[in-house]
Amino acid sequence: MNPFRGGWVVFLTLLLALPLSVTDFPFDTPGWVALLRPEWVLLAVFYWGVERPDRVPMIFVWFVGLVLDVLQGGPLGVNGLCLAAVVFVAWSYYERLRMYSRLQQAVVVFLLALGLGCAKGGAAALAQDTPMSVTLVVPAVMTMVWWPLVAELVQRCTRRVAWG
Amino acid sequence: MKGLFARESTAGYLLAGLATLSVLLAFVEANTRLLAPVRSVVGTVATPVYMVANVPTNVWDGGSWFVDVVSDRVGMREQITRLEKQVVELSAVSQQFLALREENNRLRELLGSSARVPGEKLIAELVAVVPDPQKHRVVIDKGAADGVAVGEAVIDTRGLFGQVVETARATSVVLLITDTTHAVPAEVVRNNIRVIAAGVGKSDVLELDPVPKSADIREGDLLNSSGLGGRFPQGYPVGTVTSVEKLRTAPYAQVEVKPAADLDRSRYVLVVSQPSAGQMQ
Repeated sequence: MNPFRGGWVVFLTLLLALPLSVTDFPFDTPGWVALLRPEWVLLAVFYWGVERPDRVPMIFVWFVGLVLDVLQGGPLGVNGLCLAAVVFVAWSYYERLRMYSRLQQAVVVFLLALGLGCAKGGAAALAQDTPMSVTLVVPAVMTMVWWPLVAELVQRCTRRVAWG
Repeated sequence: MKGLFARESTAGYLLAGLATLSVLLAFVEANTRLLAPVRSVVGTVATPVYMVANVPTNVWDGGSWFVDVVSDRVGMREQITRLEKQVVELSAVSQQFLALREENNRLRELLGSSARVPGEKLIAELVAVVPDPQKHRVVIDKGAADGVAVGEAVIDTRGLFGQVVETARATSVVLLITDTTHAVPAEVVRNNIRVIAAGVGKSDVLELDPVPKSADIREGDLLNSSGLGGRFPQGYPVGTVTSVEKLRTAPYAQVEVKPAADLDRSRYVLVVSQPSAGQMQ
């Protein structure tokens, strides 16, 4: 039994989530379209953390978070910390989380994404004196809304993967 | 309940370790410049992500490669004619400009002030926009390998665009003049009143930092960069005054300015390195 078998699927999903998190919309799209963006990487990490906790190494996820920090131009370490915490939650409770319905899982996803939003807002408030505002809830809500869709889609696409 | 794998028992320690590391990183970055190379290296590794992320915009906008592949012969010929005409017009203007610059420098010599040395210019293309609506930052396709340095000014065809705040090998991050953390020293063209135009987080508004009510600033006034502060070269258009509000209850006049540059439209920008850039670090 190879512990790395099927790991490429996790890797590929994360690789797809990164550009989605920074996709630039054409200049004439209305401003609210940008608000529909969920925390793609968090969705991917949570999905695989629950589905395949043995294929999601925390240190690797932390580095992905580092890359995301650079891509999004935020303070280094914020995404890494929150994504590592997501992995921790998934590792600790994956048996229970698998039993949850997608909607129940969505609530957990919302709380995790809210934590990420607060961490980002807090870091920005400390580093650049930009006041925290309620707008940081928006990505968390969008992440929750996208969760059932994304989870079903990824599940259907990866049903035939050999995990070894 | 103990899990299937051994590392579950160590997960807490691992998380604690990574959390400490994250906080340390954030702290060091906030207080020193030690981590700039780390950011630069990670940025270089992550450059392809920007390229992929930018594909939808390219396709939609018909910008760059898509237009080259699909546009018809007639359209391209028209475009070439138009561009050729533009080149002729612009070179006529620039001939005059060279002569004027010479004359200006001679006059400055007579006045006893030093001549202005023009900076190097580098054309760059926007490859991505940082998605956070709170942050007005864009990524351009020229980096440290092309000679771009942190602090250099960026302009587009209409005016001042922003400044370089991070460089990776092949890309750099540009902070727009409308970002809440950005302010640019400017002067009113009509009467040389010095002001500071600060971003407020909207792509079409700058605000002038406290202007006394008695200051002679009117709607329609043009603002140019004043060159004070040493970061931006002198004489590039910053914007036009769109409203001046003098409330009896407020101690200062509220002046709003529309940026001259097409901040949310330009795809091509110029990075201007100034001979004296970096003095004000």
